[in-house]
Amino acid sequence: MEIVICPFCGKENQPESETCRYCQARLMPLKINPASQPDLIGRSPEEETPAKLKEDQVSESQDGLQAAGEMRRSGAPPASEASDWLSVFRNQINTQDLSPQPAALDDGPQPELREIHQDFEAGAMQDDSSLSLPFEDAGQKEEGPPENLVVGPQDVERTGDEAVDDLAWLRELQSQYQQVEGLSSAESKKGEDWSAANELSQDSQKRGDEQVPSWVEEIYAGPLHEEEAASDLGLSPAELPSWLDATRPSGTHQDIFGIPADYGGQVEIAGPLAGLPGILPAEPEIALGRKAAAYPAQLQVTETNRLQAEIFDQVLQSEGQNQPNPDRGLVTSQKVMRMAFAVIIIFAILVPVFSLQTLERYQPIAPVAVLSASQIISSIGNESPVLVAVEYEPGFSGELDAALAAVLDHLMIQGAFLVFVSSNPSGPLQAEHIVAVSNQVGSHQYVNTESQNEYINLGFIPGGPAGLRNFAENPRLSNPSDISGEPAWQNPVMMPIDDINDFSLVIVASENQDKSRAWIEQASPLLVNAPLIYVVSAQSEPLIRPFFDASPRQVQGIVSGVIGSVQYGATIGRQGIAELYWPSFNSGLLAAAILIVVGGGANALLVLSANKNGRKKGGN
Amino acid sequence: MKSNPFVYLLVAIAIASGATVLVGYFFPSLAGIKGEMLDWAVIFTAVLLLIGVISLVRTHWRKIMQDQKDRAYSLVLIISFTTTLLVAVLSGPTSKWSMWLYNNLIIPIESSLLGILAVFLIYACARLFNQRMNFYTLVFIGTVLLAMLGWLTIPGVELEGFKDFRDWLSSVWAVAGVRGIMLGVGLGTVAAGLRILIGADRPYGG
Amino acid sequence: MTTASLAGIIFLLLFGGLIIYFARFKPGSSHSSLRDIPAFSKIRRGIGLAVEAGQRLHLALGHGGIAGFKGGSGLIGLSLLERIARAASNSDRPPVATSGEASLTFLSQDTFKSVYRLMYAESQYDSEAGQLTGLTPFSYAAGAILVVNDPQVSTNVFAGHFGSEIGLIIDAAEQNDSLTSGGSDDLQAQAILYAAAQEPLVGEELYAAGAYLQVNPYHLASVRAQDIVRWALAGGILAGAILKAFGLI
Repeated sequence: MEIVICPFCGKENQPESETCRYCQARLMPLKINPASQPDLIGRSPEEETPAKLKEDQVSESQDGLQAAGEMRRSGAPPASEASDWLSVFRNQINTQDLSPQPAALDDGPQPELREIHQDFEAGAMQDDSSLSLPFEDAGQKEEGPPENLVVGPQDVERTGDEAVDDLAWLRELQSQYQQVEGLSSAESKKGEDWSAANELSQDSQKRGDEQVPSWVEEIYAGPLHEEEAASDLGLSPAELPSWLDATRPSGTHQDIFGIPADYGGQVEIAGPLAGLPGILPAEPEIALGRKAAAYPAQLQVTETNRLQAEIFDQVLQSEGQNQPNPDRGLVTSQKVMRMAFAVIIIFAILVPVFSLQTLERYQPIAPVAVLSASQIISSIGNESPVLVAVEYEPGFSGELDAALAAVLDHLMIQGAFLVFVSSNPSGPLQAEHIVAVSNQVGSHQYVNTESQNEYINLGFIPGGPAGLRNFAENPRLSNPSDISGEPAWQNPVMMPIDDINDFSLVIVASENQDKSRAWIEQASPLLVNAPLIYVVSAQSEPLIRPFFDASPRQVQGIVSGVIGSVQYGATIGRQGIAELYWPSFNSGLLAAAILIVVGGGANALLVLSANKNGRKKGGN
Repeated sequence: MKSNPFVYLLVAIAIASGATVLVGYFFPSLAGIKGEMLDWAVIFTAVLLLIGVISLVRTHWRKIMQDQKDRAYSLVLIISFTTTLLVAVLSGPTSKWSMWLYNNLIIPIESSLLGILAVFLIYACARLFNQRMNFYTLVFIGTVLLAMLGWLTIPGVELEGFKDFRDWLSSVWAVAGVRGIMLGVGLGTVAAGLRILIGADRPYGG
Repeated sequence: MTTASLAGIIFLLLFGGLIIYFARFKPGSSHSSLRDIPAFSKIRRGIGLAVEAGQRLHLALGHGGIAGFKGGSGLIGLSLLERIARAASNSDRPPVATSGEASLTFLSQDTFKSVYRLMYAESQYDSEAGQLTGLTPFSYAAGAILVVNDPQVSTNVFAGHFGSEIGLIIDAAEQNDSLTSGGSDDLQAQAILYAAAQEPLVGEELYAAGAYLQVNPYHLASVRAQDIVRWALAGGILAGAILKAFGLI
């Protein structure tokens, strides 16, 4: 079965196809009748008549053959189309039948033309990488450079061999041209130079069994036949414009390009390099001047990639930048709420101070711990040494001054000799402070002067619990002098004291459960006869209570906070400073309770509604 | 990482000292050594207090000299420290002037800090549901309110029941919880001490 | 030797033996044997933030010192400080430790120095990293507030002995929008932490910090030993209460 190989894509087509079904290249030539359109002879395809262009809808593509194919597809190409010297060559490329036509070959006096076509066909059919067409491999290979660009050693050799073969063909042409030089007329020289060149090219190396289609011979036979016909009919040959005629090379291509006569290589017959020897066979894309595919210069990225790249870029740029401190607004909701709370509490505390009305007084039902403490202190005799450990911080003076002042007031009434000590650095000063406060509460005046000593301040006990243990075991050695540097143990009241058990009573005033516990742990084992009473803040009372509730008791009495002070004062029948604190304390406590209830309730509702809205949105 | 060979000597000293004091608590024959080492510990603590004061002053002095942030507060500290020291040294720690400084500066400042703390705690309790919405928060707030009601006196309102309930809460539940926590804290403290005695923890720069 | 002394010695030997046994022979993994405590996750995250986001981590060691009952929490704080210093020392803003007692201050500075020395970065050591901010609880809180108010501080960890003044430090941290997490051995501080802090450590959870933050295997072993002893104590108390109730003892 006869097949037609497209010279451009190399694909097989049916013999009757006019255009290649793959690349739409023209397989059949356009029939040109010089008699009907004599003025087209020698014109370039761009100079075709507009009418013809319009009629055939010729595109302005650089692929003239495709244009020719489109012309064919439109179905209206006349048999006698204008022929010009370029379109002639283009049509030569469109092979219809590659099967050898011995008759045509034999008949044709243009073996060179046949061989030219053979070369083209052979070039189109060649498997060599150097000569293969790019789109041959499009469907087969997807990787690697086009075969036409890859030149292997074999390919180089084969290319070289082919080049040699091509050159041999050209050399034959040259020899033939030299013969043609002896041809007769100048007119034939003009008109026949190209045809002679074609004829010569037909004498190129024969390629296998490719057959030159008969229409190629007809074309070449055309002009000659036309001339013959013209001569027969007495018609004068067509006249080229003088300027075009001037562009014709005066000599053969051998003369022009200096091709030796025995050159047997391939000579280019189409395109701008027509006539040049040793030219690499023009690939259809190059010959056709197909426009290279335009690839975008921008990297194709998705929107997500672009956003991520932007974020990454921002992160990198921010690395070297100084980040300004976040602008904290002067007025925030938190600060406003805090201020509101503070204003309400302060207002609640001040109202009883400035108003004549006070809240109902606290009903003093003294607990057992307070009663026990008052009973113990009531049994203290005159000039009995009582050790008072002042272990609370100055900040808790508001609460513990009131509680301790009530106890000290009772002790002062009893005439006890007070010995102050502290394991706090600020304790000695706090002791002096509480004595002054107690003096203000009652009508007594406890002083510590050279002439009158009613109390003594032993100062600071260093070393924490270890120091307490040392003091409990040997207070004379631990604190030999008082805070002013005077000998502390020469007082007649102090002289009989060797250890902590020699004191009549030990009172510890502390807001801190650790310090309270330290005294219990270090001093209590040595307190066999002397009772231990605690004056504590309300916050640490639950932590000390177990020592009072234990059996045997390690703590014999507890006075706790402002309420304990009120209870103690009521027990001994004396009104202390706690009585003055109580109204403000009560109203402040009430305001705090209301704020917690209202604020907590509002926050709880907000959180619950926010959770509900969140669940609704999630459900939707 | 390189280790200092001197560390092994420090570890040996720490272990030996701790073990000696511990054994001295259990064996009366070693009580003398224990007492001696405790006396040294007391002296070291007192000296450390003095060194701490010097370190504090030096840190704030450096802040002033290097124009660091908040150097104004450092200047106030230095001035206060110097003034108090001079007054106490010149007139005595319990003199009239010293007591004036203590009664009119230290006590009001620390009392006001405690007042701020009270307001903050009320605010924190009010927004506790916002931070932690669970059953334990409800129990916490409820206990706080019940304890406060146990102390309040409101005209025309009988709150004796709340007082008894508060006492019961305090003497039973609070004490029980405290005992449990203190047991755990005690065990943790013993474990921390034992780790130092066996050389597993080296807070002294090992 | 009295019975109490003998019991004490036996108790200490058993406790120490359990710690060594679990550390040497049954190491175990913290992920498998410890329950989840969100506070430690937040602390770990804070350590990570300190390194990656250039934020500062503040560790408050309290004012309890290292002697006595409240010294245990101070030692835990120092262990945490070593762990945090190792992890965050190469941050743009190294961690800072504040304390209210001189011995804690010097030990914290020594811890920083030894960590930097072990990492061959002694030049980075700054004595200001371990600060003594006050000698009394309230003055310590006032000084720590200045540190907490630094906008660069993103995480505040409390590990030591605190009193009620911890509320002031937490208040300042809340206004700075920084994380507050930690615990104390003091019950008043625990109550304030529960009400005010974002991630409080209640009870003796602070003493498990070393195990959760993987300071060293002995911390995890200590936690496991504590659990065993705790169960034994609870059983003993229960048994004693029952026997006492029935008049047997």
